[in-house]
Amino acid sequence: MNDPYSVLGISPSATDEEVKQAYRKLARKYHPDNYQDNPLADLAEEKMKEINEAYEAITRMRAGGSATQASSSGYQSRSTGGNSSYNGYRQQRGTTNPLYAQVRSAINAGDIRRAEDLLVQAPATDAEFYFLQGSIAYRKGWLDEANANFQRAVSMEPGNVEYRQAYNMMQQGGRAYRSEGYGTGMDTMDCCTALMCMNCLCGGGRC
Amino acid sequence: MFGYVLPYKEALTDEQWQAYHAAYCGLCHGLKERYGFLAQFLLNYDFTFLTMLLRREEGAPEQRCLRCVSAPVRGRNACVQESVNELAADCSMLLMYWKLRDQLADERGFRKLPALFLLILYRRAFRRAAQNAPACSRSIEENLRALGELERQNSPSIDRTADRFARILSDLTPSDWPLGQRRATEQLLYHLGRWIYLIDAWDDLKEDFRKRDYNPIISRFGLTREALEQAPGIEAREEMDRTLRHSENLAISAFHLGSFGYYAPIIENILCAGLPMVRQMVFSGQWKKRHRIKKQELNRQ
Repeated sequence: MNDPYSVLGISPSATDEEVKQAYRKLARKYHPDNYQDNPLADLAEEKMKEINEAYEAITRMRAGGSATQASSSGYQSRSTGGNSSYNGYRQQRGTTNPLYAQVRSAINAGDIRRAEDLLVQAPATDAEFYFLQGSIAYRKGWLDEANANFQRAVSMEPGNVEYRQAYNMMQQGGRAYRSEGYGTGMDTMDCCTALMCMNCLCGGGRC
Repeated sequence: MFGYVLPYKEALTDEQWQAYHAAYCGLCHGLKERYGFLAQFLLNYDFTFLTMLLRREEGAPEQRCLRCVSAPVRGRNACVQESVNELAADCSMLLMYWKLRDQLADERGFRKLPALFLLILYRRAFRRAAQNAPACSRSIEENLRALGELERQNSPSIDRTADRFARILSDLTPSDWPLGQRRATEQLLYHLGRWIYLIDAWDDLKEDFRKRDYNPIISRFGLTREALEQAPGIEAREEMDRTLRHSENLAISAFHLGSFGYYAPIIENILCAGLPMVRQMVFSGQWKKRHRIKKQELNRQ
């Protein structure tokens, strides 16, 4: 395993508080909510695992076997056992249709072409069909088509939590971690200051 | 390309700004060295971003103080030793070539002349660029052909049209990078390309109405010029803003999964602050007026 301190991006002389802060920051960055239905979700999950292991290793080292220290360390308790809430990348999805189950497993394996080929064989176009069509579009980066399909799935089956979650994510415009300073404030940035920042590189003119 | 990919200077340190500037100057010198004086006119911010993202060397780049047209006496620091400058120069040339070919095919009569003139002027550079970067050349040719076909069919899909442009960028990812890094870079570039194509389409709306040219947003929302000022136009505006923000988010979440070395803080600045800034300016109409506004500011000072 890599040096747990370098995984968290801190020096071995960091205080317990600094360790905790570094861990929390990274845990927010790679949180499954930021990678919902994302084609790179597996990479984020790996990162999350690395971070959890590094944090665990450091707290274990520092506690020196003392149980009270370990249990008081914030996120620690959740990350033990490898099945923490942060490892919630694999969502449980219920389907009764065997074809749809195949489509889902192709999507999860990242084989989008196979998922598409399977889905066209579907005999009916029900809510789940549109949901899966939306999921395929989303993984290709076709956000407008994904949105239209999720919307249709929700309108056909308003009570389905899975469809609603996907549609809500589209309505939000997706999610990503931004470090401090690049927070949501950027969206209300004053355009006049923005103009001033667009200082031209070659002495005032376009090169 | 189009020059929409800018950093947000306020949030950069002086050192980072200097580093960005040196990368920009490095690419300019790279273009000149590889394709001659005229090629420098192809320099833009989007390709500067590419040189930072696709850089191969580790650690801080070597900077040299070089004189140029814009700094003939004192010179400017430039990163001229970067191998990625060559790829960016080749790609600038090739995109320009195919764009001109497209214009030549679309325009009629005298309006063919500017494109024809430039094609002749740059003909040797274009030939060399295709030899230097055959994979890039193939990708651009294939995707722009398909894009042209969609445009002729008046495609109502912003996804399918943007996809072709996005693929040109994601295909630039070096194939010898480790798989995880490659996937993150491809995804980042894909959504950056999608963003550039769509922001440019929005920026060109009025002009495309006037010339009756194809525009994916006009076709997607069935817009008329009048509607743009009224309620249906507002719906299109909201949808476009949301889908562009979504592409920004997907590019940022991909960025977090790769390691981009020396330029990582500047790349983060561009994705997290630069793109939103430009998007807001394009949507508020300030982007088109930016040169005029800047001049006014300068006069006031």
